[in-house]
Amino acid sequence: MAIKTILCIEDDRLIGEMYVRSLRKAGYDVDWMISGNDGLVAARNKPYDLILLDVMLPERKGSDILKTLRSGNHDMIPNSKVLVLTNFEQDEESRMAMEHRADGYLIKADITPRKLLGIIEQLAK
Amino acid sequence: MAVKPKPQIKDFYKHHYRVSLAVVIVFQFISVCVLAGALVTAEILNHMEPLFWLLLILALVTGLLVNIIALGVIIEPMRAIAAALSYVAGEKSADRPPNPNTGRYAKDGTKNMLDLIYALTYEHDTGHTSAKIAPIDQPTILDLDNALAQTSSSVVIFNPKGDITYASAHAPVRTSPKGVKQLDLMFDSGDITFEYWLKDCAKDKIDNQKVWVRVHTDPNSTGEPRIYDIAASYSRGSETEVVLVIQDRTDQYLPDEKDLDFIAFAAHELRGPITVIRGYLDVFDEELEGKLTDEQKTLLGRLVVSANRLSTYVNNILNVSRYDKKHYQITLSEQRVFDIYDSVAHDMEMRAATLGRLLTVDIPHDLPTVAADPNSITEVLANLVDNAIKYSSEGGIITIKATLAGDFIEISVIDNGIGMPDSVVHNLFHKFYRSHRSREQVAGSGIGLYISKAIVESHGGTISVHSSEDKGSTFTFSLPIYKTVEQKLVSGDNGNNKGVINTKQNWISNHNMYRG
Repeated sequence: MAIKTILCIEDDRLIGEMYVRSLRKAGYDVDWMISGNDGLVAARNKPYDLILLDVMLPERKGSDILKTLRSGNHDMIPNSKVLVLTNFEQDEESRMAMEHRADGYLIKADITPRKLLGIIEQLAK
Repeated sequence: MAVKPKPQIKDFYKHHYRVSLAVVIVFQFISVCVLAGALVTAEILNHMEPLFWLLLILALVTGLLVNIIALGVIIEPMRAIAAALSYVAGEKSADRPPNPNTGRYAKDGTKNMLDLIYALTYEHDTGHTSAKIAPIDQPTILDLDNALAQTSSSVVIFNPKGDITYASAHAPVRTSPKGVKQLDLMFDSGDITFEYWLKDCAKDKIDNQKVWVRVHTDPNSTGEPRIYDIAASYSRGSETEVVLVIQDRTDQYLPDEKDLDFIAFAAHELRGPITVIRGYLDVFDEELEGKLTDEQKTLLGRLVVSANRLSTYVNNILNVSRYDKKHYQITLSEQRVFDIYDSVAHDMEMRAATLGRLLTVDIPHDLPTVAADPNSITEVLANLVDNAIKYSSEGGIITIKATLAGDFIEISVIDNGIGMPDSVVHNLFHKFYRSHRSREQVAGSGIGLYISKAIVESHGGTISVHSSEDKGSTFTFSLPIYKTVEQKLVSGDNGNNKGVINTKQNWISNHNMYRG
């Protein structure tokens, strides 16, 4: 599955800007939302190939967004991949729930923009 | 052409005051001139005498002072009325609206006018013609009581004296030993507490609303702790002056509260800047390629290594915290030792090179695969290499090698540094242990080896050290060969490691904690 459009939901401006800059440079079409509610609305309104989702977000947590988008048999984003990108260590239950609904769960501190590009390429295969 | 802004009511008073002041000053000058004319005409004094001028100046200053003070007193009601009108007109102003209950307004009669302005506005905004509520039939209240009891909402009503006059079934209200009902809440969220908000309202508000989220029950209360969202409404003079609508949100908020683990939060805060530092260093590394001198490359390398080590420390702290709480779990899968090392080879070589150590690696490609959690094992390697760097001197050689030993692969990190006496060796893997000598000479926290041991033992392996003073140390850890544990892993019959082998396609995970 080719990945062209990416939605980045990230409230830390420095981190968001860093990833978005590299992704755009690599030719991806990137939208960036900084609050949980805006992120959810964007994800519902436009079919993105990939959603990069932070967990600790203002207004609405990433886990909640993911649950809303993908719960049980109801998948509002069947054609999107989701990568959870967080620096927050959740309790096991919440993390497992997110892992179950996402296509990857990564610690941001270990993911440089270059690594992220590699992971997205791998995901597209 | 610039558009002239709409005149504001609050500006009226300022303008009026300035005009009045100018009039007072002009009139004072005229009076003094008349006085001077009179003195000269009556030949009491003439303009050659200093006393003449002294008298005129005295008359001018006294006249000005007295008249300006009088002016302030005379137009004060106008100021109050203008300010009240400005406030109800919704104009933005740094000044508080006048409080009709201030003593002087009551005395000079301005109170009535201010009250009228506020009351008319209240009626206009709410459609209420009176602050009094219509009498409610008793059965209606009972019905409402029952209806509220079915929900997770509750209502608390205060009268103008501040007493609770109504509290529905699940309302967080307790009765004190003296029989006084009070809220059983701790307003620790939001900008102000309920009490301060009430004081603010009593000072200068006619009606007001406020919402608090995540308000906890008072920790001193005996009941089960709950978490609420609360909407408050204030209406001055009404029999139901303050109404609280309280929504019990414990079920929604409690799972989050479990996340509020201090170390997880601290790590989250630390990792933010680390993400940016490591990320942009990586961007620099790519974008500045070929443009840097050798010295600049070395300096950039030091930054990269330091950021990576910082990241290792944060992971160590998190892992120790989880391990101590018995939350630490790993995900074992089939791995090649060479691949695990290869994923961090660049980082390890840089760590050594930056501090002037030479790293040699001897990991044969054809070793059997092991059952390992690659991210955890790279942390063990990072800790052991950092240790070898710390306890050796510049120009030292650090060797990483892997060999087959029965059902295990043994991986050793060997340095030719200062080594340790036997007395130290057996304490080495204890938490926070630092030998007397290392405390004096080398900075460190003493958790790197502790968590490395925990990680290796979670894999079913062992970790040990051989050391001789002034010759160096060899740290060796073992990992089980995959074939020997495959049956256990696939059947899931391995206790700690539930769901060890992740078969989900395209699965990517680099999280360092809660493995499994």
